[in-house]
Amino acid sequence: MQNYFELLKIDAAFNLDAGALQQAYIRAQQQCHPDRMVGKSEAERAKAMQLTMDVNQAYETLKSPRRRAEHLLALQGIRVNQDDKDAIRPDQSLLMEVMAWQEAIAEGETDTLLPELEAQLQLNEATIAEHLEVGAYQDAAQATIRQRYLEKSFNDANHAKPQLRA
Amino acid sequence: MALLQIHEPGQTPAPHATPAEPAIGIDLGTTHSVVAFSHAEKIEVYDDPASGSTLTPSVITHGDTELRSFKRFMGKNPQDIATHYALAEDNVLRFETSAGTITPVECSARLLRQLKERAESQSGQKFGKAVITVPAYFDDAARTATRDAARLAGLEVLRLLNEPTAAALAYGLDAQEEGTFAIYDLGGGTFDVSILKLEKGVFQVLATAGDTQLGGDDIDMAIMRAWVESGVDETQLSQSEWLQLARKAKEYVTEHAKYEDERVALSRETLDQLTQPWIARSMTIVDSALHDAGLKVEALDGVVLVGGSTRMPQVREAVATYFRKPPLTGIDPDEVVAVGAAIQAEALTVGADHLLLDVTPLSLGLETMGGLVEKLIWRNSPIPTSVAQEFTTYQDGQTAMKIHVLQGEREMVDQCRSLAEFTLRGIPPLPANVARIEVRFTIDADGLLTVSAKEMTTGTEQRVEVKPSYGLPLEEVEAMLRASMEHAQEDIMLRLLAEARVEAERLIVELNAAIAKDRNLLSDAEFATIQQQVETLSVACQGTNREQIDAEIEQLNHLANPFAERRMDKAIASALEGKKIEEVSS
Repeated sequence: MQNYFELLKIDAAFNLDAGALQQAYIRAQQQCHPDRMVGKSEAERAKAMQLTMDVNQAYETLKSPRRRAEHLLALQGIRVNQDDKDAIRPDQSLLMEVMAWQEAIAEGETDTLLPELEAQLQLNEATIAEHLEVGAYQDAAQATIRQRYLEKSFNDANHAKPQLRA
Repeated sequence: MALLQIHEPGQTPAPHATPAEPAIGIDLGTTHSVVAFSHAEKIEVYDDPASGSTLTPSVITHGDTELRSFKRFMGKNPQDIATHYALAEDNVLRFETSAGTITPVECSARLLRQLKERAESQSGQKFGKAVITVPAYFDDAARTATRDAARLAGLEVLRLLNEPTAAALAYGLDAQEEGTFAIYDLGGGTFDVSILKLEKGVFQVLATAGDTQLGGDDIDMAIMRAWVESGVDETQLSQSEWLQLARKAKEYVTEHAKYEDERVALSRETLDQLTQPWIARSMTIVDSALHDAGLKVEALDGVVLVGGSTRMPQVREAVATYFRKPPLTGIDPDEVVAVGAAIQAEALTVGADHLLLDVTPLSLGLETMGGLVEKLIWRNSPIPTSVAQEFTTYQDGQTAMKIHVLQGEREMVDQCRSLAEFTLRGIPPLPANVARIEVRFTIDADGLLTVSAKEMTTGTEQRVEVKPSYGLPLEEVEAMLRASMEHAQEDIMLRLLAEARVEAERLIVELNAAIAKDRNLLSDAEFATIQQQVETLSVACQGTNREQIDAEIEQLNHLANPFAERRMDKAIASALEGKKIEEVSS
């Protein structure tokens, strides 16, 4: 698989400065965007198009801390964002938590749930960073899966909010 | 207009050996259109000889019927619109006129040809290419319709450029601005807002949002309704005359306290009230764009007004209040989009130092089990982009899969816009959850989508490509697909033989893969029998007797069936373990 850090010529690390990523992205686009290939051959333009798509994917992936963690894990051969049997699965205690969050959303308790989920998202992101830092990839994978479910529940809760107001 | 001079080594496009074919920029608006040409830092906006203005009314006549605001119908199906205009006989939307019916695409083509010819007669050169602007929030069908209209008009589309992006380009290059800006674009029929970062000649769209059915037209309609409600005799004028009068009164009140004639009156206060709901709606859309850009309103360096409707003081005041700073109005809101299009047309034919990085306005996804939409590309993803996702079958022996492509933000299929629907056939019959189908969405720089689907399990590539089409009956789309899948077939018998061999090969490859994984589910005797039948089938494949190959396939299937069932049980057991979490979270 493609290494998005290499593609954007930045260090492969979870702690990534948003400004540095932005600069790397713009630099890459300035070099490879097909609009810059005026007068070049069809083959060169096609290559530029592919490269631009990859650079856009890299940017989108690395911009989100959770997707960045997933990419770092994938580079280690660990699949978390997949449905197949080889992928790491969430553990039972997370399942129970998710059910509780969904119940709270259904009960209209978003006002208390939202700040709680927001705090957990921050806390868990720090946990992912710690695990990745020391190369504890299995733990990082579990925390990354947890982050996905936190994000999903957070978005669901946010969605449910305006409907309750109406 | 001063261009930003940034030359980094090796990045300035080389000058052409032969002069590039010139290209124009066209702002194809709901109520007015503008055509411009940029050459060597000089921009020409061509006048409409009829009005003496650079604004050409977006009106065409067919027979003695005048057609207006047809842009609102681009890419729409009759069922999208509740109007007496629509004729639904073949699911293509047509306007009824005294000279027969005409589609919105044909109307747009007529207008485009008129603009192209104007540019040609006034500049003395031929134009075969153009950058044409579209509302940023136009969906795939409306973009495709616009491109088709250009083709009909004899114009090759170099790029479909989003209107706010075009405006930002013209404004940013002119004012040499840097920072983060909102472009608030309220036109005759559509509303867009884009949040852009301008830095060193790079125009990066961070987020865009809009409503393709919100514009000055709606305010005219509200004024007309208010008059009728207040007791004005509706029969005095036709609807289109009423709307023109409403527009005239609205424009007058922009600079005066009150409009009054022998029929009607419109005060500033009444207009304030009538516009309020529309402006409020536009501001909730701005909220959403800022949210997607991950920015608070204070983070913006400025807000640029685009579109004729932003001349209304009500709009200016509301924008100033919302953004907490006076809007930047130093540019002509009517011409700026066409000027941006012309600059980009020059950039794409001659080269330029600036770079536009745009996004897709709407999420794109596929229908999955239970009528849910699985999103492959999220709104505000930078384009061009290409995203693939693997799907699997949900039934044993499933050999076909429906691919239903949807655009929109909602979770349910019936809440999103259906772009295309086709069936991928020829999936090898395997236990559920074993076949792997890769569906790939590719959005090009024009924001147009291509979908391809590929069966991955056997390595035999089965590829179909669909350009989503608007207003085409599904049968036609499927016929196009069948044609694309069958194009290489000369002889039906040879094809059947080839298919039988492929089928055999698939079965063997798949079976070997399964055995490699789950050999422990087979007794030694079973294993030996299966191996022997694989050998028999391989030998049959070297011959040309299709019926024999089919028979051996059936025999092998029969022998492997108990094995497949055991694997299924195992798969179900392991799937159930992981199932609950997905159920609660979806």
